[in-house]
This record gives sequence, C-alpha cells and structure tokens, in this order.
Amino acid sequence: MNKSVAELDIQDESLLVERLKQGDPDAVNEVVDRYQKQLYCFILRLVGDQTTAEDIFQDTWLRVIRSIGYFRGEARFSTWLFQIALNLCRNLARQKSRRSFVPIEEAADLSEDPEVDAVKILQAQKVRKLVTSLPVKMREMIVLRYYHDFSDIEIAEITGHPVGTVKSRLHRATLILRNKIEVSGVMEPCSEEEEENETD
Amino acid sequence: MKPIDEESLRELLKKDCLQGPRAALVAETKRLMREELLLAAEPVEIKQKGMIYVLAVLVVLICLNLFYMAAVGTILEFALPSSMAVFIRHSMIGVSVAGASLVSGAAMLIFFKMFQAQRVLGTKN
Repeated sequence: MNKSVAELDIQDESLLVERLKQGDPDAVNEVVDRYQKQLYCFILRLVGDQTTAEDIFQDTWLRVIRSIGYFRGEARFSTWLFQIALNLCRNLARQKSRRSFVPIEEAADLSEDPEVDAVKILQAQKVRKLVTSLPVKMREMIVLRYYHDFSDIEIAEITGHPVGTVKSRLHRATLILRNKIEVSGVMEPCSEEEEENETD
Repeated sequence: MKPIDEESLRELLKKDCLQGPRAALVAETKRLMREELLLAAEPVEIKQKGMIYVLAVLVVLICLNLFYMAAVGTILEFALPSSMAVFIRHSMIGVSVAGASLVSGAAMLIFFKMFQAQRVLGTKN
C-alpha cells in the first residue's frame, strides 16, 4: 500500500523542492510520481467527476511549477501542494454557483478494480455516499484526516482555517459521519467478513 | 453494535480505495511541467541580467557625479571668474540630487517588485 502524504520523508521532500527550484527536469518526474495518486484521489474525492479531477490535477501541477520559486519552505511541500489543489476545487465549486462538489450518483463508479469483490465495492460505495453527503467543509476535513492522515496543524495550513476551527469542525464531522454509519449499517458486512477471516 | 472508534472509522473509510490518475494524463502533465520549467527559467535570467545592467549604469553615474564634484567642480571654481561660482555650485547640487533620485528610485523599484511577487502568489509560501 502507498504511504500517505503525511508519512513521506520531510528531508527528501525539501531536497526535491530544491532540485525543482534549480530547474532539474528529473525532479519533475520524481515529484509527480511521488504525489500523483494521493493528489488525484484527494481532488477526485472533492469534485467527484473524473474529467474535472483530471483538469484540476494538471492545473495544480502547473501552478506548482510556476510558483515553486516563491515556496519558502515554512510549511511542508505536500501541504502547499494540497492547499493549491483545494483552492482550485473551491474555485470550481464557487463557479458552479454553490453546488455541492459531488453528485452522489456520478461518484458511484469511481473505483472499478476487478480484483476487489462485490461486497467490498458495495461497502466502498456506501462509505463514499456517506462522506459525500457531508457538508463541503466537513468533507474536506474528513478527507484530509482519514484518507491522507494529515495532522490538525497541517489541515489548518491546507484549508486556511485556525487550528481551533479545524479541531471543532473535525469533531463535528466525525460525529455526524459515525451517526450516519451506524444508521446505514455500513459496518455490518465488514464485521461479518472479519469474523470469517478470524475463524479461518 | 459496538461504537465506532477512530481506528475502525479510518479502516472503514480507507476501504473506499480509488485508482490513481491515468498514465497518459501523468505523462502529459510531466511534459507540460517540463515546458513550464524551461519557460520559467528564461525570464528570471533575463530579469537578473537587466538588474545587473541597471546597477552598472547607476554605479557609473554615481562615479561621474563624485568625479565632477571632487575634481571638475573644484578646478572650475579656481579657474573660472568668481561671478560664475554660483553656477558651479548649483550644477554640483543638481548633479547630486539627480544621483540621489536615481539611487532611491532603484531602491523603491526593487522593494515594490519583491512586494508584488509575494502578492501575486497569494499564499504564505
């Protein structure tokens, strides 16, 4: 499994940034390879639509390369990268005149791995529906914390909110999500499966 | 049913695993980034060269100004009739003011350019 962005080595990250600043073309390959999956999944979870996610993914990287000279390294590169992507997603949402990012029906076929069994796919889709049913700002928090393992401080840097706001919003979002999970019974097939695995 | 703790919530959410971007998209993005990198490198070089020329011209002007004040002005004060001394003093003041204006103008230009660069980016970093 891929490392989450928060787990990636900070030293390597700053070396990579230095190489980018010096205009090393090999650094472009390395930096994109390193963050492509995490960044793309983050955008896709927020916007829901694959074509839009691809546009924002590309735009994010182009903005990174255009403004890498101004990156002073006070925050981690990954938080800066996600901050740019989030701002682009927010701009898009604003353009779509207060429409929620993800129409749930459109998001239903996002993961299509033939090796994953039907129960898991169904469960994943239910989970996704629950996450996308959250208000946009809460969804941002949940995605950054649970899918990308960012700390409160890093989430605050990415979203541009104070740490206190992040903590309270994250707490509320988690409560709402837990309630939704309990009501929908998404956990149940998972626990049955786990029990089967345990007996094996 | 057990209450959902932090870890099981994380596990449950991570079951919704998405695939990464298409290889073609990644390749295209890398190509565009490399092009941007080349484009971004050129103007910086040109700007730096421009700054060096401006500084060199300023240095020459200031040197000429000092030379005029220290040598030509003094010599002229001795050589010319005393009735013309007032013109020489005025010209010395004029040249000094021009030099000072150039230097302060260049300093302001550099300061505002740096300030503008920070505003264009619009983020902390």
